[in-house]
Amino acid sequence: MRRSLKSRRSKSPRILRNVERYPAIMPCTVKSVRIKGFRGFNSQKEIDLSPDLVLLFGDNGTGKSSTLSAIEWCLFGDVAFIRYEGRTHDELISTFQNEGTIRLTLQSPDGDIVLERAKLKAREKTHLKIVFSDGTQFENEQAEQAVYRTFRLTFDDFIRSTFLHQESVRGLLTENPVDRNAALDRLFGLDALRNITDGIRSVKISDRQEKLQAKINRLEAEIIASLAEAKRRLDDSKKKGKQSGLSEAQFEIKHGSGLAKESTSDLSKLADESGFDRPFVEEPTSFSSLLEVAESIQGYIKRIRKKLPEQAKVDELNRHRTRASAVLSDCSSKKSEALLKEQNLKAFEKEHGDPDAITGRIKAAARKIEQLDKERTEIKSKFKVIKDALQYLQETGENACPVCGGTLQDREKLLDHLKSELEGHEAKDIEAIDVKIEKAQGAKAEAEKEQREHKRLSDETTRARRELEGVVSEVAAVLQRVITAKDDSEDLLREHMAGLDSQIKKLEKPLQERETQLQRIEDRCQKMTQIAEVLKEEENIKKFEKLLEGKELQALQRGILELESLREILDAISKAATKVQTDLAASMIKNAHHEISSYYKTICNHPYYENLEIDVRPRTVRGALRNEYYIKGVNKSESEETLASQKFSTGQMNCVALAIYLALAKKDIYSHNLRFLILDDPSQNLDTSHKKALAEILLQLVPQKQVILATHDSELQAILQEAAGAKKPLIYRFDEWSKAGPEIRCET
Amino acid sequence: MENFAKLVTKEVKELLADDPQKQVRATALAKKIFQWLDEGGVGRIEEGLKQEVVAIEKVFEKQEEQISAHLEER
Repeated sequence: MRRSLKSRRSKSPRILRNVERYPAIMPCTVKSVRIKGFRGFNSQKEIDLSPDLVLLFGDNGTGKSSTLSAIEWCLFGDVAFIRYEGRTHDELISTFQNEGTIRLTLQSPDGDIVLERAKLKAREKTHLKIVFSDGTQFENEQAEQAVYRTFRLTFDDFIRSTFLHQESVRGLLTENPVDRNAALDRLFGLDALRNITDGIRSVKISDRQEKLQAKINRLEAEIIASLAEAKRRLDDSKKKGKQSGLSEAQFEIKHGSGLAKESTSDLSKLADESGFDRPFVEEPTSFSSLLEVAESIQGYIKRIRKKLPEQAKVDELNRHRTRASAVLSDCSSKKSEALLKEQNLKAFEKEHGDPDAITGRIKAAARKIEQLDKERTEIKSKFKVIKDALQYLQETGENACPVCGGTLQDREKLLDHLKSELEGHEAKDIEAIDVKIEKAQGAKAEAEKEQREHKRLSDETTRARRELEGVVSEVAAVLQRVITAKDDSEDLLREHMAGLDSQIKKLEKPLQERETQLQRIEDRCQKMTQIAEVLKEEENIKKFEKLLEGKELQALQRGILELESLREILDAISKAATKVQTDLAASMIKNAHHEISSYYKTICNHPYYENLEIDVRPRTVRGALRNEYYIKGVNKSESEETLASQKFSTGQMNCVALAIYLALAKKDIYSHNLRFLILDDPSQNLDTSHKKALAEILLQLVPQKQVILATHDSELQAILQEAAGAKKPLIYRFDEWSKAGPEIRCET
Repeated sequence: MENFAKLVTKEVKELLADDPQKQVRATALAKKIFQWLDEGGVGRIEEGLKQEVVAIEKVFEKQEEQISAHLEER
């Protein structure tokens, strides 16, 4: 991703006090460069670059641009593609090496200057050493400063005036006028001024002013609302105060203080009478202390109200009365319950007899059952005999009595008689006796039930009596006397309660007097609170009115005015920077106009627009003042002109860029001490005639500047070689690349 | 850069010729801006100017806090 130039640091080294004066330096050219561990250069390579015209020729990716980058990195510790494409400096160090080292020898009429820069992988800082021809040498920060002071240019100046990168040309070829203007500003070395206007614009003071104004408006509205609210509350407080009996004139601290004094005096008297500590109250001097005094007195009253001697006595009597009342109620209910239980028992005994009678019934019934059981056994025995006799007679068929053996007179009659006894009486007699047994058992069960019920009633009566006895003991405790059987506990209790009521009644009057006394003080406290509230709201009103008219809001307004003043100052600085930018651009264009025109004619050789003119005017773009450049192709004879960006081809625009760059280089617009030009692949989009023209211009520059040119364009190389003639460029052919680095052949 | 600073300062003085007080402040601020530009480019200018604004805003905010405190006291 390409980064905007304006967002990058454009920094010259910090001036160090301890650096001695540098040797006087005349303009320098490049003598040689020794590269190791940098980009694709793994093994050490030293390249002699001392001739006035040096060509680095070879296909893309063979190490030409890396050689040129080595020169700029050694001088400034920075490289254009790293800076513009947002890449890291570690990318400069060879994959196979841990450290990259460049040794650059520059030659000046006074002797050689040797710079050596090294960087370890993953380390941000580089190490720079500079050695002058007289042996003076500096390292690191002092060396960086020495570079800046000796050659009088920064990295940014270098890439504008000495090293023509494709990035610089590309900016001019863009279709976006904003980017093109920015590229031209950079080409003229004016982007520092553009950075000033950008920096000023980014602060957006107007937005901040609006924000502050909104805050002031909000505060003002809040104060107005608070003022209205305070007035409303003042009216309410006064109304309440007047309802409590305060007059308009009494809403003042003096009256509040008087009420506090009276209250304190009354409370002190009461405290003395009741044996309490006197209240400690300071004289109120403001609404807040008046409020505190009122609250303090109210708190004191709340504390002593429960401890008043009269009240304590009444409370004690009431406690007694409550207990007596509870015992009386308990006594009544227990007494009723005991009576009821006794009545129930008596009624039962009346109906069913006493326990002895019931026991007698149970025993009689038991005896009857026993007797009936015996009778039943006898009947069964009788019928067994009859059955046995009948069976014997029927089985033996004899006519003899089974008991005595005598002859039976009428055996058959006897058999019929026996049968008839069995069939007619056995079941009947047994059934009759069973009924009797059952009846006797029923009578016994009934008597037993009555016995149980009697026991239950008896138990209940006993429990009720015991409970009543317990209550009577409580009565004795309440009355603090012995209760005899003759005494009526309830009457005694009622009598006792009447006595307590009488005592309470006697205490009511003094207690009421105390309460009235306290109530009076509380009323004063309420008035003190109302006075305090009125005073508070009056103070608030004064405060809010003061805030509205006073210095606080004015002070806020001053903040806005200060921002306004800062904005005006920054506007002036911005305008001044833009004017200087425009003036300098216009001046440089005017100064180099002849060369620009001449180079344009030579390189571009446009068939119709034979002249090139550049105008610059300030213009507001997106709220910022900017230089706007108008690069125009002009046909003077037909008085025709056109914007180059609209009508020119990419190749022609490239020629325009080269013409401007080379003209500025030729005119030495930047007065620095580097007498060489580096061009990286300048012939892109150029046809043969343009290339010939470019070669012609470069050769014209050669006596004045050393030219180091990298190209993959064999045509440009051939053209330059042919055009150079006696000047004989030094040609390095970058053929192949191995792990050791590029294979470089020198051709002369 | 020094040349730019001189030229811009001269222009600023001309632009604010009718307000000597502002002229003095502008000259001082222009000097600071060039120093910031030298230290860290546009980002540093932005940072420096924001500090100037924040200094004004802080005084404002302190005053605002006092007023708000008055309002809250009620």
